[in-house]
Amino acid sequence: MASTGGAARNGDRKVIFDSEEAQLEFETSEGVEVVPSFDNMGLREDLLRGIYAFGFERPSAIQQRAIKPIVKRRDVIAQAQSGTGKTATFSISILQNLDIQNRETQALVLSPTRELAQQIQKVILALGDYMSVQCHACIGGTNVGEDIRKLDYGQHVVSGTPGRVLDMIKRRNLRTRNIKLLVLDEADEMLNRGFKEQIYDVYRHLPPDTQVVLLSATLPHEILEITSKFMTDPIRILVKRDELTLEGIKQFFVAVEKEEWKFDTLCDLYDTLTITQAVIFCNTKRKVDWLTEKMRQANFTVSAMHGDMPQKERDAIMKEFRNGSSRVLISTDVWARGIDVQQVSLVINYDLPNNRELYIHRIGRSGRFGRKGVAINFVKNDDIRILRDIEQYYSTQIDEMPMNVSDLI
Amino acid sequence: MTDKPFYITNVSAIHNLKAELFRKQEASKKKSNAASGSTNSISGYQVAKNNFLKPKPSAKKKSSTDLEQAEVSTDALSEESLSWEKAKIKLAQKEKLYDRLKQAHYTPEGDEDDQYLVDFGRRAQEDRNLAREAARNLASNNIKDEDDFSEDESGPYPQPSVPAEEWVEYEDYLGRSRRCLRKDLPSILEENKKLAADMSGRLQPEVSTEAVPGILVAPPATVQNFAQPAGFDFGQTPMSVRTLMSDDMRREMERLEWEKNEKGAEDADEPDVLGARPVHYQAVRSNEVRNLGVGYYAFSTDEGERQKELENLKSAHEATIRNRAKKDAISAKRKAEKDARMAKLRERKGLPPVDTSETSDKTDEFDEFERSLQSKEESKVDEPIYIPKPGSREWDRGKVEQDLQNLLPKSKTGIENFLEKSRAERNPDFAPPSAYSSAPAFTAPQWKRGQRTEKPGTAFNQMPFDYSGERAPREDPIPPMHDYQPWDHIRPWRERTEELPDSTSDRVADPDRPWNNAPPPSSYGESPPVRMSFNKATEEEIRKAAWELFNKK
Repeated sequence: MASTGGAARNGDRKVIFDSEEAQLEFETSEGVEVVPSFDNMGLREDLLRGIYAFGFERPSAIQQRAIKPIVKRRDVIAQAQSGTGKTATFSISILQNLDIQNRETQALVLSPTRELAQQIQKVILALGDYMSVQCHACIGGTNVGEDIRKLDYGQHVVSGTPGRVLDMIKRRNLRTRNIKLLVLDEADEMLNRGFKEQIYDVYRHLPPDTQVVLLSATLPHEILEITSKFMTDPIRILVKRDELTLEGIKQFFVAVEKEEWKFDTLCDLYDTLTITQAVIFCNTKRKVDWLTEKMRQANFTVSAMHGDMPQKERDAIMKEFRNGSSRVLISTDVWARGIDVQQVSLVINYDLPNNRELYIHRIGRSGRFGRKGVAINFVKNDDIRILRDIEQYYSTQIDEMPMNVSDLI
Repeated sequence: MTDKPFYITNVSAIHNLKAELFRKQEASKKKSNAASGSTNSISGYQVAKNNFLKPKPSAKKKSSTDLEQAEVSTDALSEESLSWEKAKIKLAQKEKLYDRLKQAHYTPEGDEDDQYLVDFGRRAQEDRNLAREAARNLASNNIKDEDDFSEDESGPYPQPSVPAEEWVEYEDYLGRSRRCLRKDLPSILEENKKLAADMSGRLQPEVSTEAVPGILVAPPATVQNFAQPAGFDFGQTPMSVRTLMSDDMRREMERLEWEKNEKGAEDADEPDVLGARPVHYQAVRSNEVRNLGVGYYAFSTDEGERQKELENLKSAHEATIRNRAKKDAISAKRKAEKDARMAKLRERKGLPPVDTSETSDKTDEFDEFERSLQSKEESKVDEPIYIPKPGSREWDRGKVEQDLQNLLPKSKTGIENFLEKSRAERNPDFAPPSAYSSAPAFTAPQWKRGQRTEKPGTAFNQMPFDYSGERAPREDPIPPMHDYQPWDHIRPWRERTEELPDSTSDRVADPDRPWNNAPPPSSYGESPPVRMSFNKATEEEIRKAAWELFNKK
């Protein structure tokens, strides 16, 4: 709650600097209503109860602005800082517009990773607990027969990854006729090269003029450009990139001369890692395996997760990490987007990310919903340049790591 | 004793006293003999216990009643009591040791063999069996009657004056036999039941040691009682509470839990609707560390329970609303009365009436909750739902036409693929008659869990295309599979003969069947071939007609 989202400030600035920023192509839409409390959103009773039971008290900046237009069935492009409640925003809107009596799929949520799809399912089930909503996570790596059974039983909402969802639509086990809303979480990733074809295929199977909602912490210009192809007169709630980093997340770097020194640095930091929970990002799956092996050889307890692992194992590792029984997780960018574990307060970029957007997403695994967080970047000499670029791009500050870093967690 | 002199008034009194003394002495002798005689039948261990447990009352009784005893010098008494104390301590120690050995199913090994002469393992087993029997008797409200106690009565146990003061045996939650006063029995049994339930809950993942006699395993409670140092945990604490646990152990526990859940889920499934049960948050949460709101209610994972809980919550909510309305009505009424009184008072004093609307506004301001409720009501009345103008999206272009051209071809199931393939390979001569495939009403029965397309296919086994991509549920009950047979849709021959075309006209040139066009054999004569009319003819009539035709030749 402590984080006053940039969207709020952005809305205010809009009025002041309108003339100056007129040349920019994409702007937060005018006249976006701000609703300061959940009670005033005109939500149904049982949904409100679910919202408060889940632990929300006041809506965040994005929730204050985006829920109402989505409920009104407008197409919405919503950008907000990581961990400020985007998932809850569309989940609440979906639940508000559901016809619970009709157990046909009425909303489809697509996300880039299986873990994220499962997390969204969990949030929807939690918020809709008093409505007895049915939400299915339709993801790859699981039993197809189980999927079919669940879908044939009837699911109000389906949260999934594009591949399996498309498969289920083609098998006609996921009936699309009643789908009123398509949500693309982490929209910039979903409309990127890898996923765009699949998204298009899914979209072609939906009724014409289906309501579409896009959400992400990062929405690059080229993504906003293509939205007109499948959205009609969307409401945009955007955040300037210099407001994209959260003040609650302190960012530091550790300069190392050689790659090998990173490992020693990590070992030195291990005590700090285990204060609460920490995520360490590497750029490749092989490096994740290598680092995990090396840490274990040095008698440190770590767990690891990447896309090459069987889904069962991924699920088990996620469960352990969410339970708090494992505290240090080494992972690839499969973990970079959307995953919400409240206890994570430290992110380490063992390798710097491959693009600027990923940096925002990675450090956003800590400092969830107004909590404090720390991000530490390991940089070799030639990496400093990249870090300075990130610093400049987001108008943020990345200092050298102080000695008392554990006090900040 | 000395300060009150004893005066003897006559001789008979002395004789009486002597006789009395003798009688008492005899009685006491008899008593002690009887006691030692009875203990012979019981084990030494039991004697020790009994003597230790209940020696005092009899001793006291003796000293108070027996005059001879009363005159015993004080130092002799102290000496006796001292040795008695010593023996008592010894016996107590021995009893404790024996108890432990017995509870631990002690079996001597090798050189220890001659240390104890008692087989404690066997003894414990025997005791347990005995106690179990006793418990069984108790359970059927058949508390031991006097006969069972006869042996105890002759022992050092005091005579029970009231039935409630009787000593009864029972089996506690670990299968040990215990004694208690009859009046305490119900409460103790209750307590035991609770402990037993607790115990079984704790020991669930472990293999029951009870069932394996003769094996040197300490029962868990014994461990807890004395072998377990304070602060150590040998498996009694529930899994959720344990902190010092290896990763493997914890994982194994989680796996077991998962397995249990899965098993339960499987059991809950109906055979025909596997996986068809509602899933709720509580089922997917799985111990995640997350700060939820204070209002979070962990519903039961059991669907029936859950519905009940939802009902209860709903009724509680309704009750709150009702009570609030009632309270509001009462307070409004009171306020109105107060205002009326005030107005009257002011009138009497000759003051102008107060503007009530102002005050009411003020009170509204206080009630923020009411206001928020009001604004909620207001916000519900809102702009109509936005409907985009159709056909403006690039990705929608051509969607409808494409849909009509089988955008959503039904992906074929394995059996369909198989059928198609085998049909392609089939010798056409072995194909079913073309009449089958042109039968209009027949579609292959689809096995799709209670759903079936209503629209008939155009050809044999062809799936009808449904644009919506949805299989509409059938209203009428689905007839069972065997009701549909391919020949069901060929109309009875009688009906078909009616519309049989002219025999000459349907003789089209068929290269496969040249005999179709061959002229009738000459033996048929000049007369044109008799056309049989089976129109509504009975079988008998047909046979008759055929016979006539045959005879004509």
